[in-house]
Amino acid sequence: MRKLLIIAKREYKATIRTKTFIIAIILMPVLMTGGIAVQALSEGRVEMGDKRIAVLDRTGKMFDTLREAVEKRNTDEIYDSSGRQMQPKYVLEEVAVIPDKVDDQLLKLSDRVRKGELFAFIVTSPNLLNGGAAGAASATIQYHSNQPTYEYVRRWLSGIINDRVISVRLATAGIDRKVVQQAMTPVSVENLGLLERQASGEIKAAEQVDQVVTFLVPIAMLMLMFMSLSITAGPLLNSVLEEKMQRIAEVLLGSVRPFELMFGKLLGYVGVSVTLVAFYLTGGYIVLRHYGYADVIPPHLLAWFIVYQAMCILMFGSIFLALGACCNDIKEAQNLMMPVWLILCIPMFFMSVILQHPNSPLAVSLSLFPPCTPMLMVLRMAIPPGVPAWQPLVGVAGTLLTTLICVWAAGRIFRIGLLLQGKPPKIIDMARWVIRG
Amino acid sequence: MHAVEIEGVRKTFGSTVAVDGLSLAVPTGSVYGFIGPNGSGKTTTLRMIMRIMHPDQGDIRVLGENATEGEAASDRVGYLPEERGLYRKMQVNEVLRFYAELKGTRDCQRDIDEWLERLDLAAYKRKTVEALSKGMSQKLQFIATVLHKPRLLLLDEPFSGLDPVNQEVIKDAVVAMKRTGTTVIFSTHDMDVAEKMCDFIFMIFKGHKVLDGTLEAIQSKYGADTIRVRLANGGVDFMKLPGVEKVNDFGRFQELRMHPGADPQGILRQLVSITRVEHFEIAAPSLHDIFVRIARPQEQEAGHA
Repeated sequence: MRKLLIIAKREYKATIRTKTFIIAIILMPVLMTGGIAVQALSEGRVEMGDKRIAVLDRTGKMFDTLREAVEKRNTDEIYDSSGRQMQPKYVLEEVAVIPDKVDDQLLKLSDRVRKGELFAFIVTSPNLLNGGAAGAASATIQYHSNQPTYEYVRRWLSGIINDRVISVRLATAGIDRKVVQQAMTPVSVENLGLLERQASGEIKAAEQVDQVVTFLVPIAMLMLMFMSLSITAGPLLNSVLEEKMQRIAEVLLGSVRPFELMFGKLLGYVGVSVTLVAFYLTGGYIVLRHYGYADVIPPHLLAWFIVYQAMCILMFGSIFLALGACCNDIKEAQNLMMPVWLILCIPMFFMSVILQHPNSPLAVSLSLFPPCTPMLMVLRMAIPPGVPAWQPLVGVAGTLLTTLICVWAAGRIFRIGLLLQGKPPKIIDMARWVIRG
Repeated sequence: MHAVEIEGVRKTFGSTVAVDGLSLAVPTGSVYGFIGPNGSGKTTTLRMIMRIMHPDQGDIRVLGENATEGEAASDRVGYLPEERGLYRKMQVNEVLRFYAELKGTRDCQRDIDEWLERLDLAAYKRKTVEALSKGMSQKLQFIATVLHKPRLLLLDEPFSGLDPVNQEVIKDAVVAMKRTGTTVIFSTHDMDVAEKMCDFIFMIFKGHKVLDGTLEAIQSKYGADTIRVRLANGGVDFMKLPGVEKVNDFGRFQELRMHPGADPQGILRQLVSITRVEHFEIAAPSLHDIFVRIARPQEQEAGHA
C-alpha cells in the first residue's frame, strides 16, 4: 500500500509539472470558448472603407427609397454611443436604364466591380412594385458582387426593398399596414417550472425556467468530464511508454508488483483529474457568481459528478495503461486506442438528442451502458426533472463492476506488455493474456 | 547457507526455450559471475531471481524465500538492469529518493549524499537525469541499486559502457559491498573482470549451464593445454608444429592450444631451431579462451545453416 502511494505521488507530481499539462489546462477552455471570444473581440473591427453600390432600378421608383434609407443609415446607424464609426458607409449610384442595352450595362457594371470601382450592383425587375398576384409571382431583385461571403450589404438592401414592396402590396389591396402589424404580433410562451406547496401551506409561484441552468449546466458537466479524460490521456500514455522504453519498468518491477505499479499510476491520474476538475469548477463558480448564478449546480449533482468522474478515469485510464504497455511508441499506441476513443465519444455524439429527450428509452439504455454511464448519467441528472433515483445507483453498480474488470484485465496485460519488446501484440493476444494470466 | 538456490528451472517464451534444467547455488557473501553469449539466458535468469518472471518448472529460493511465488523481489535485493532505467525529467536527488522509498527506505538523504560524493556525482544532485552522460547515469543507476543496503545485489553488465576510471569506481564499490557481507551476482562480457573479481563463475549457453565453479576448478578441467609464446621474429607457421591444434594470434604474442597428450617440449625444441624465443609459458587456458571454445563451434554451425 505504501509503495502504491509512492508511485501515485511521483506520477501526480511528474504530470502536474509538465509544460504540456499546464498548457493544456489553460488552452482547453480557451479553445472551447475561443470562438465566442474571437467574435466578441472582432466585433467592430470590420473594414471601414465606403461601399459603393450601383442600382439599376428598372421600376424607376425604388432608388429614392434606397437613397433615403442610406442617408439615414450613414448619419444615424453606423456609430456607437461614443460616436465611433462601427460600420462602413454605403454610397449609392443610380444607373439610368437603357432599355435595349441592359445586358451591356450589366456587363459594364460587372467590369467596374472587378476593377474595384464598385463593391456590388443591384437590379430590380420592372414589376417589383406591382401590387396583386401578378407582381408577387415574378418580381425579382438581383444582387451581383464578387464577394459572395460578405452578407451585410445584401441583407441590408433586401430589408429595405422588401419593406417598401410589402407596403406597396398592402396599399394596392387596400389594407392598413398598422392593422396587419398588430394582427401579426406574436404572444410569447413563458417557460415556467412547477408550483410547490411550501411548508407554511402557501403555494409557491413557479419560477421562470432559466436557459443557463437547463442547457449550459448539463453540457458543461459532460464536457468537463470528457475534457479531464482527454487531457490526462496524453500524459498517462507518455509516462507508461517512457517507463517501458527507458527500461524504467524493469527497475520498478524489481521493487513493486505490476498491479501495484499500474494501480499507483491510476491513482496518480485520478489525483491529476481531480485537480483539473477542481481548477475548472472553481473557475466556473467564480464566473457564475459574477453573473449571479452561484447556485445553479446543486451539491448532490456535484457529488455524483465526482464519483462518476473518478470511475471514468479508472475505467478508461486502466485501458490506456494496458494498451500503452504493449506499444513501443506513441503512434502505435494511438492506433491501438482508436476503438477506445470511439466508445469514449459516444456520449458526445448523442448529447443533443439526449438533451431534448433525457428520459427516452435510448437515453436511459445508453446511460446504463457502462462505458457511457459516467458522462451520460451526469448529463441526464443535470437536466430537469432529473432521473429516477434507481438509475444513478444501477449506473454506479454497472460502472464499478466494469471498472474492476477493466483494471484487473489491464493489470494482466500491463504486466506482460511492459517487458515485451518488438511488434505490438494483437487484440487476440491480449485477450489470451487476460484469460491465462 | 546460500543466498540463491536454483533447482531444475525451465523457462520458455512461446516456442523458444530460454533456460532449461538450470541448477545453481550461490553461497552467501560470495561474488558470482554470470557469463555467456548474448541471448543465452543470463538476463532471464536474473529476472527470475528478481521475480519479475516466474519459471515454468523448478524451484528458486532467494535469501531463504520462495521466489516462484508472488511478484516483485524482497526489499533486501537490489537489481541493476542491463539498460539504464531512469526518469529523464526527474532530478538526480529525486530519482534516488524515489527508488530508495520504493524499497521501503526512509531518511536516506545522508546515504544519497555520501554515495553521490563517492561516485563523483555530487555536483549533479539538482540536475535532471537527461543532463547526465551515459557513464554518469550508469553510476546513478548503481547508487539507486545499493541505497537500501541490499543483502543480495544483482548487476546485469555493470561495467559495460564505462571508461576505465569509472569501471574502477564501480568495482571498488562492489568489493566494498562484498566486504559488508553482501552477496553479489553480476553478468559480464569482460572475462578479465570475471577472472579477477569472481569467487565463482557460472556460464550459461543456449539456456543450459555449461560451467559452474571457481576459476581454478574450471581451468583444471581443461588442464595446462595452452602455450603462450613471444618470438623475436615472426614468420613461423604454428599450425605446422607437432601437436598444435589452434592458434590465437594477438600480434605481440601468440596463444597455442595443444592436442591432448601433445609434448610442449617438442614444440619448444622446434621453435628454438627456427628462431629466437623470447617468452615461452605453459599455462591453463584463460576464461576468455574457455568461453570461445564453448561458444564458437555452435556459432559456426549457425553460420553454415
